[in-house]
Amino acid sequence: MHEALLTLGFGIVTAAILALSAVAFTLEYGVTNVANVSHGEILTVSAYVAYLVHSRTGSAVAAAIGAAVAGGLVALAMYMSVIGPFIRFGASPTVVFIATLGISFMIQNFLVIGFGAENVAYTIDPGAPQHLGPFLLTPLDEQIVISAAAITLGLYVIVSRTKFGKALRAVSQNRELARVTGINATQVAAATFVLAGMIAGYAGFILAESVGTFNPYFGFSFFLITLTASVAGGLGKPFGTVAGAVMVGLILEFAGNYITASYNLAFAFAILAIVILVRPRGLFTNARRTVFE
Amino acid sequence: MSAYVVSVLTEGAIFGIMALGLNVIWGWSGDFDLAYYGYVAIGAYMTLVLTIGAPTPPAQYILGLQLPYPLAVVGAIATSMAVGLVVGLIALRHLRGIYFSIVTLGAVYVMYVMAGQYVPLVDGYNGLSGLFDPMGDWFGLDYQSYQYFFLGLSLVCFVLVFLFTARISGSRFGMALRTLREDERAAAAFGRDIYRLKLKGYVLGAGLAGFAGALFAAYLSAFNPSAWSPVEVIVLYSAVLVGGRGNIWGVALGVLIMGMLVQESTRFLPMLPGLGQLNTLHPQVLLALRGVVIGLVLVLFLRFRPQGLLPERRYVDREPVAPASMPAT
Amino acid sequence: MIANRGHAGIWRLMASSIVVAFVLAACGGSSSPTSSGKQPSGPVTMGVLSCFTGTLASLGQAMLQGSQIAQKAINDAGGILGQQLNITHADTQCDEADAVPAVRQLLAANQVVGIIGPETQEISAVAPIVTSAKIPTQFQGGSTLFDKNTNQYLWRDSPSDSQLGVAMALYAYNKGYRNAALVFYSDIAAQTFPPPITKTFEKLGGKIAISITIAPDQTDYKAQMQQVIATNPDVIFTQTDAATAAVMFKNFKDLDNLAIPFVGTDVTGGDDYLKAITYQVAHDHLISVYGTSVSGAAADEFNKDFAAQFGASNQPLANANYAYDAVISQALAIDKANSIAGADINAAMMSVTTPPGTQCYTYASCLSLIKAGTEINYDGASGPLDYNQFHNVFGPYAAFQQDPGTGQQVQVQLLSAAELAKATP
Repeated sequence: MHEALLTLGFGIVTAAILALSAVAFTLEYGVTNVANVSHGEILTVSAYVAYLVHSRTGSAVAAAIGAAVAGGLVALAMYMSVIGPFIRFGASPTVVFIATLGISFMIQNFLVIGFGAENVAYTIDPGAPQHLGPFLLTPLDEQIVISAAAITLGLYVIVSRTKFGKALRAVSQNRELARVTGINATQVAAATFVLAGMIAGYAGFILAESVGTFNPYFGFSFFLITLTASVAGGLGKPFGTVAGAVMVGLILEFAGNYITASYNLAFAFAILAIVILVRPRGLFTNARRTVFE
Repeated sequence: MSAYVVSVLTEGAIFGIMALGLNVIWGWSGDFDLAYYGYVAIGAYMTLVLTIGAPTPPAQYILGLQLPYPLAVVGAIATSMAVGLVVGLIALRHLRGIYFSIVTLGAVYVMYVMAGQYVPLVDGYNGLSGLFDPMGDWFGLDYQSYQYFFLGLSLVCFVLVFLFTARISGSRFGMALRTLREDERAAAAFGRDIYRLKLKGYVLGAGLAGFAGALFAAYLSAFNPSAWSPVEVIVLYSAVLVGGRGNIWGVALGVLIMGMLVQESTRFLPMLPGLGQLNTLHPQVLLALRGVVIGLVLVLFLRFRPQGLLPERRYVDREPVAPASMPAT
Repeated sequence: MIANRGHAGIWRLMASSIVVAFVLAACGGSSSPTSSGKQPSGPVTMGVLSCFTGTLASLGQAMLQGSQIAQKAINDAGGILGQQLNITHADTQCDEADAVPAVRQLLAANQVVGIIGPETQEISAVAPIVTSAKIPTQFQGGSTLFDKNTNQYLWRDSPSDSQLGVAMALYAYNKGYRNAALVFYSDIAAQTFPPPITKTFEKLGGKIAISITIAPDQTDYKAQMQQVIATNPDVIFTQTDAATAAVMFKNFKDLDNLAIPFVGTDVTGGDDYLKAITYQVAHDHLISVYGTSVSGAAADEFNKDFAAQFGASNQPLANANYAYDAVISQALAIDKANSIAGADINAAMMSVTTPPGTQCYTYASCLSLIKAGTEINYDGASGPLDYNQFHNVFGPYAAFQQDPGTGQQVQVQLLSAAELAKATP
């Protein structure tokens, strides 16, 4: 039982990072109907930026801000240069999906050219682990969970209370209708991408510092799990996604501990496949929107 | 002819078979199947376990028979088709578009993990090896001559597959697939059983993949999870896209450009002055640059020339019809 | 219809390709005659065949680095048979499918006389090619499958994991540890360690508390590490790649403040691994066991040459010393055989690296001995390079600790070949 609770504690940290990444991905999907395969690269680039900022300034806070800013810029660039034009051109979601795959590949290779393919060590002293109830967490872990919760809360406020949030929801539900009511869908989408990118950038930063190392491919492997969490939670629904991420994070942690960690990603995909087949709208939604075709 | 050129051409022919099979599923049926390379791997693995004989400990793998190569190839194709059937049954029922792609990605990932981690299956990361010059002893060929023989064999196989897919292209089945791709609801209205048709196409594509995998195993004499590299997979898909999805000549052209020229470009670029020095100091730069180029080509083609270099020939009837400026999916 | 028109053309295409195929087979192509006593007409080329892209890219870099250091030493001493040595490389992308054209390119386009590499996962596909081309290939990879290698052209100058496993277990036992945990990642290169370590440790009288496999490049291993800690081991045997290690060490720091010492392998003694876990942590908690030459003279020479080329503040990448030894020994074999024909080089390899012979530790000194007609026994930077009949090396091992000040590995204990032989189950 003690071990189970410990596992639960570790799982919550993983879930927190996953939740941020997944929520960002879902935002991107919501306003464009596009599954952005290069989403993972936002995290990777932000991790590199954080590393550079940290080595220059020695401040983790500056690194975190740098990561978020970088993430926002990268996401904006993705939207402006590829995703937006493809949508305007009338390409089907599958085509854009493949295009984002191409971007992902390009970014990874750019990073290899710039930084080399080997791992970069990124160490921040996590502090000594403390017992927090039945869990064993370090101050770093606590920071991660708290900041993830804070960001999610902030996001909730933005989406549900602000004018921008309203526009975002409108564009997500029906782009054409939103346009008719005078909303500039492109601007809203671009702004959403910036927001999503900032969240993803921050996720990349905390993932890198919690893992302690990264390389050009690290965002992509995390993306596969992100995808699972997003689909499980319901693509396009940010808050179902958070629940989905927590669920997936915990399942992976438990499966990794009690069964074997080698099959981790296979598990993630098994979950993904099952969710898609059984409840493609996601486990936590009652959305009217159906399977995206 | 340099052994290197022979080897590149052989690989190109095998790649061509893979691309033609992918074309059936992606080009004609219109489904972006990410599990495709898994069927190639299954074909390769099956061929090996059917030809290399019983495992010597500590190696472990299933079967371990010593059948003649052609028989093993048949077995490989059958197995790939069987697995393709299972995946297709699940994925094609209700899913289209990105969901289909994601589920197939999941399927191939599970295959990959099983092959790599579950050792009793195909010896995990060690993989299998030992398929030396199959059928070489029938003709009494030494090692050097065998390379040419195998090149010829691969080319013949490629041409056979090309002919085969050409026939399908013009057949009712091929046309039906393409109709489905264009407009499923209309096709259904005309009484087509969508599910069965797509499944047939899918299994056919998987079978071709298995065939390519069988040849691939002979070419490498071995196979292990390291041969499932994502770079190769992306090159395969971009070959089909760049060349012309739905057009078998286009696919062949795509393999020539992406599969051979681009893949091998990094071996020859260092011979240019200036690049040689760079290559010695930072060997990964040129190779990563190739990756960037491939990704860029993919994106540019999708945007500006999604039909590929050799677009699919539309079978139009005599009545004037609004020009189809946007290719399907 | 289009299909019909195309048909005739396609049949013709098929017929002609069958004809072409048979013609090609008949031609056979010129098999490169490796006649004996071939003298080089220009610079001599050796090829590094390894992974230069992907997460294992540091392997290729290390092989190339070691080869370049050897190249400089050789060229400074006058070259091979009076010609300069060129080092070229080809990328296998750690992928069998790419290894095949890569090695063919080295053979055909670059006309290499010897190959350094590849890695364990590519060797099965590469072996038949280099064998038929009669090119000596010195690869590095610990897989125990090669302990009984019968291919005359394959040489392995890095120790089999079975040997290294024995050394690790012996060292731990000598330190007084009796209860051990094994944490290795799922990669083929690491999976060959657990059996020899287990057998040796148990033979000596120790106990294996738990043996777990972790998947590489995950973001967190705490759950599994907690399992390990729960069994109360005195020592943890480990090999993973640098990225995985960074996470693992972090997790242990969080869980038990790194209370349990680690014993690792040559991989854990590599600079990228040490940097990933930080030099200080390595110094305090990790001992890496790997091969070394008895006197260390060759290793000193290697380090000296490395510092001259790359700066004294850097550490050679893991395994670079194997590539260095591979190039030097191949060069010496060419000098001894007085020929660059593959079969001749291969035949001379054993005599320049194994006893009997005068021991020498640098290319320059070995070369002058050869010129004087003396038999030599080159002892390398990575070990004495005394190949057995299966072309495997053995020899003394040593335990190394990281010095955070200098960034170098410092030998703390030597395990002689005799001790190892006694401990081997």
